[in-house]
Amino acid sequence: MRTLLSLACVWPLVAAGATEIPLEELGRRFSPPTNVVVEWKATGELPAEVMVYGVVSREFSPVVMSNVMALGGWKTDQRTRVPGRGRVPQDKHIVHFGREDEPKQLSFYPPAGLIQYRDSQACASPNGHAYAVPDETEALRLARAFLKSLDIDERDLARDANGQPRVVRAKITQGRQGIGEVISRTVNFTREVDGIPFTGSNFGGVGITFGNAGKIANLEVVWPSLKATKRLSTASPAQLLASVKRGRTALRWGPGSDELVGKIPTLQRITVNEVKLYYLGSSMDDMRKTILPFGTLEITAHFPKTNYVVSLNSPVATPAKE
Amino acid sequence: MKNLIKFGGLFAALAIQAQSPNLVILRSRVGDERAPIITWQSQPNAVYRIDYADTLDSTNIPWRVLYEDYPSHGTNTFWMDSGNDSFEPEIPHPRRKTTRFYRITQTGTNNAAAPFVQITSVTNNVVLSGEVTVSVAATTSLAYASVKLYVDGQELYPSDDGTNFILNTPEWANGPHVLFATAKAASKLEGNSSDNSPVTYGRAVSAYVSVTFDNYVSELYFSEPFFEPSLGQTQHVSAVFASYSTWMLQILNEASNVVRTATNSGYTMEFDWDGTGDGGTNLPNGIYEYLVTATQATAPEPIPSPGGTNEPPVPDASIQGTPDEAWYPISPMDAVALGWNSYFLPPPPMPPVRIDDNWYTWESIFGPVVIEVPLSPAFLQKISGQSLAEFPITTSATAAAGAGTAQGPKKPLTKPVKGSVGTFGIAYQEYAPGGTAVAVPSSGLAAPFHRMSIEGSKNPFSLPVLNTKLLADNVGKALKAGGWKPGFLLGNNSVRAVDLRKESLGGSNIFNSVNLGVLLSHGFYGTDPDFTAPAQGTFQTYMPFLQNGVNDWLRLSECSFGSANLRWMAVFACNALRSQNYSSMYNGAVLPINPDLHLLCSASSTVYGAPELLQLWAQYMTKGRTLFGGVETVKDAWFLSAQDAYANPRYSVPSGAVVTMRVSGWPNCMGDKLRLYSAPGTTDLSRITYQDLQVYP
Repeated sequence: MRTLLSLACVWPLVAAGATEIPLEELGRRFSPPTNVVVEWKATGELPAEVMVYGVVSREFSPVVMSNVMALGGWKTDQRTRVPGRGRVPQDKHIVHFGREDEPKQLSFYPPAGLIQYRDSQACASPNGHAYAVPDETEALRLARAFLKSLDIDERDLARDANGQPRVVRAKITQGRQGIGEVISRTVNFTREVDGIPFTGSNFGGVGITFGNAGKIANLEVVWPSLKATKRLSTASPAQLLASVKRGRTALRWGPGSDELVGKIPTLQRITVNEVKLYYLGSSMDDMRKTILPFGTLEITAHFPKTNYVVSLNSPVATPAKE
Repeated sequence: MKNLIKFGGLFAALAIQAQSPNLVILRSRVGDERAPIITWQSQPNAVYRIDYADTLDSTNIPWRVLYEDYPSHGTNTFWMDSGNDSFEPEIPHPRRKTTRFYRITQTGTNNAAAPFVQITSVTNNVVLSGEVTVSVAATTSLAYASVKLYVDGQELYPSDDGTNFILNTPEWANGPHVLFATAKAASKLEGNSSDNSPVTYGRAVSAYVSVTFDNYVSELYFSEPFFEPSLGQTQHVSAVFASYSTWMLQILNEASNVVRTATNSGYTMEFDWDGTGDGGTNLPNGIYEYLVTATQATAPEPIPSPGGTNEPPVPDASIQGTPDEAWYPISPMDAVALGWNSYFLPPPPMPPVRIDDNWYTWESIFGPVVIEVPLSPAFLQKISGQSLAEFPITTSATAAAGAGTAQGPKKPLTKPVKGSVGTFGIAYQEYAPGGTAVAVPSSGLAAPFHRMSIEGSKNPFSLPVLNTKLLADNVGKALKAGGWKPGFLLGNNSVRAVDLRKESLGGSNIFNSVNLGVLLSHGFYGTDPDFTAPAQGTFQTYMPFLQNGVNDWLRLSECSFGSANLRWMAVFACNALRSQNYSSMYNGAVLPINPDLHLLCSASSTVYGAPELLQLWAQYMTKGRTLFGGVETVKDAWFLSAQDAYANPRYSVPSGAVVTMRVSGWPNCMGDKLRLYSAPGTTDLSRITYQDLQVYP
């Protein structure tokens, strides 16, 4: 929850030396009955070791800054104060361009590796019409090209099953009735470190939104510099099963999980179908000093009359002791 | 000194009624909050409600809920009345109220396993200064647990993240305090169509943590919860310093710029802010914070001692003077000058006393009343061993001991808001555990065509429980934290479909009384045209409103959102603006958007109740989402909050689900921010437009 809601504290309380994410940040503690049978049917296993990373300030290169500043046609002497209240008003590390009443604004925040750019006129206005908004293919091509301007290597992006950068697309449709016209397309890339993806582009990655004529309407970069601080052993399948059985995993919130929770006392068997490893990174509204791994177990929960397929999150780097 | 009557002891004993059998009031007192602290003999595992009444002079006492769902601490339980801003209208802090009577009732016991809750970041006997983050951890075998943190029995503002609470210690008196946390665990959060079993709850209280607050600037206090200069109110800001000081009060706007400065010197600070800037300039309504800086200084000549005795004279019942005329010390400085360890404050009006069925004024029975305020240990330590002539220290103190700052307000129930930023109203329906079977709506036609098809079926169906109260509470708290005033918060039986219908249909259209409305309910879409008069043959969307188990369908076209007040409306209900139905309503010119509403934020698909979703919407609109972007537009905040809530790894949207949010309204208003917006500029309904964003996956 704190990932979503950290307003008062800029840096969360996961201390720099911490090696696991508190369960409460990963969902609801999942405590099955003591007599539940837990079995492993996943084909994959976790890597034997995983790194913990500390976030260090990312000194954006002059080239990167220049490339992004070019989106708004700014020069370095046009740096302005941060508009509005902000979470940390006038933080000295923020490099900001564009006044609040201007359509284009840009901010760099090196301590967390954040870049945010917005152009409120790049997309069709509510009274206007879209033109030359890139289609999905073109938007992806443009986005990949812009990654180079950000000095981001595609090899650092999470991949899909085909070995291509994993992409999440979004679009805004506008209209008055029926099927509206697409006024923007967004391409989201997720960062990956040591072959382990971050949980989503907004927790580590890049999101680029294109509007009319392929203009960038929105750019969000969450890409801090990382310094390996600790090497940890990950849990073996047996240890993960023990974690599940001993209530050291967290059930992800959601309608299916609610239904399951109400029936936990009658839970008979848990089958782990798949295990994946992620890093929980910073986001635009919650910055972390330490980047920690966690595992997601897709499980089937077997009850007398029905089964549920749900996900458990687990701080895999501190396995439960046998 | 013992002959001075301390406000509280007898007050609470007389005014409190133990409603439940075997519930014994053990004691009551008034702390330095000037609020009653009530202790009663409790049953472990029990849950209590505290009611209040302004008078007992009636055969039908109008008891109202003051605080509910309060868990037993064990065999003894205590609680402080500091008002309650989760009710509408807000129940004020007792120091702002005249008489208040209390009734304590055991409302139930835990019916599920209790969670375990502990304060993890603060240990016993620690000394706290400045703003402190107190972490609370709760573990449960149930679905989830929510936590609260209390100081001396007063609930703090909710944690932003469910774990960490901001405790601004300069807003309390220096000295000992008790922290504890409570947790409430529930067996499940949301209802669903296949499981409508009742929700069960377990509650727990942490171990008490005894701490000491020690600040150079303490008791930073604000007289008004909200501050309305237009009503002639001034915000009285006061503070107490550890020694004689020169002080500076700076009033900061939302951009942290200083807009008003006041300076003076003394042992205390007293300042009435009229809401203007330096030089009397007008300032916009909004959020203002107060920064107090105090530096130790040389005191003026001390007040001569009245008689050289350390023993206070016995008060005379005939003395009825105002504090300014009082013979006893009314400030820390006076107390030092007189050689006392306490000073005294006037109390709020005291309750009448009932003896043999006759009522008497408090004063006629117990005499005049004052509140004793002991000087803080830190204050006494600084002056110990020194003669009055030597006090205060002016040269030997270190900078750390002789200076301090404090900023607020952050302590309930005060908001750092000048004037009215805006008002909001929230209505929600949770539906009933166990589900309620409802018939489909009528179509407006005669039998056999009198029933609509809802999502392809004319059969009755069951309404699952929703977690709408949790979402409503969260968004309400976030809006309040952003400076918005609640107009109403209505749930379940308190809100009826007729309350939302437009006036021409006999409704009261309650959302049109506030600037920002939030409605949370089930939403269903019709798959037949609806020929009732408001729908005019269009495909409608519907929201069921249960009133004591009886359903009344609200058609979206029965609403007419928008008024001189209401600019933005959120309907968090599945499919409320589903494309096919929306287009039909648009073409029939029966969308619920009238020429005064700016935007209607809703969904064109199924939505899921991620608990933080609407809270994030409010936060993004009032405080912003990022370090640097300022506040978001109403529309972007709607989209971003859904994206962020569903993307968080804590939440799991059902596999295969696609969630699309829709914002509809007038083109001019699509860029509205809560405090910077454009008028619709047209009444041509055909100009109404929408934007859709698929927010998941």
